[in-house]
Amino acid sequence: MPVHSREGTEMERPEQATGRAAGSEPDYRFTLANERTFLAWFRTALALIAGGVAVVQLVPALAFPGTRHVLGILLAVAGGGLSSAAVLRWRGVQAAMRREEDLPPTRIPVILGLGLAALTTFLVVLLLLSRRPG
Amino acid sequence: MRAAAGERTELAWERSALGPLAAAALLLFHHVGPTLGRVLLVAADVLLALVIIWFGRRRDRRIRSVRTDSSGRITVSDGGREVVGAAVAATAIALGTAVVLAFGT
Repeated sequence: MPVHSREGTEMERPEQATGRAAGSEPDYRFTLANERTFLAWFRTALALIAGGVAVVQLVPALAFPGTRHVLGILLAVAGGGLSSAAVLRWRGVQAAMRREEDLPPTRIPVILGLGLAALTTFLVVLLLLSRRPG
Repeated sequence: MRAAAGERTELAWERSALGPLAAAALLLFHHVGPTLGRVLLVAADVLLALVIIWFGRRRDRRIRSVRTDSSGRITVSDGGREVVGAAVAATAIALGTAVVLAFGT
């Protein structure tokens, strides 16, 4: 039985959820939360692309010629990859919610975090090497 | 509640439009890569920003016209076209950016 309170009109009782047909659309709040999570990843991807351009345009020349461009290209490609990964993640989560299964695990945050940490360390080392003595 | 959820989602789309605009501004800041490629990339970035804003409006309208299914649950379409379209466009722009930066070496 659906709950008829003000809040309950948009929710179902747990026992009702278990009897729901497989493949049904989830509650609109879950659909929108999934969409906003995709958009958060999408913005991260766009920030990586813009960061790639910024590295080439704004960072001063480093110790090794061409390093800025390689970093910029890597960041732009990473942004494209993250954008694609975000769609796959969104699709996987939406499908799991339709089937009322647990959300699939993801390693994207860990990979992104490690990648950014490695990039930051690499850039700091390069900037230190680029410093002229005196 | 639904209007607020729609508003938050539309704002999330509109915030996303700032990314390509920032990339376009950075491309105009200095000269990097071939001029034609740079101009095309800036145009693509601005176009993507406009499309993202349009997607946000479209989603907001759709969220405001949600339906109740047979079990009394309120559902809304998943926005798959907008999601996939935006991601494909961003991936294409990312590759275009990489090419322009590569020619700038």
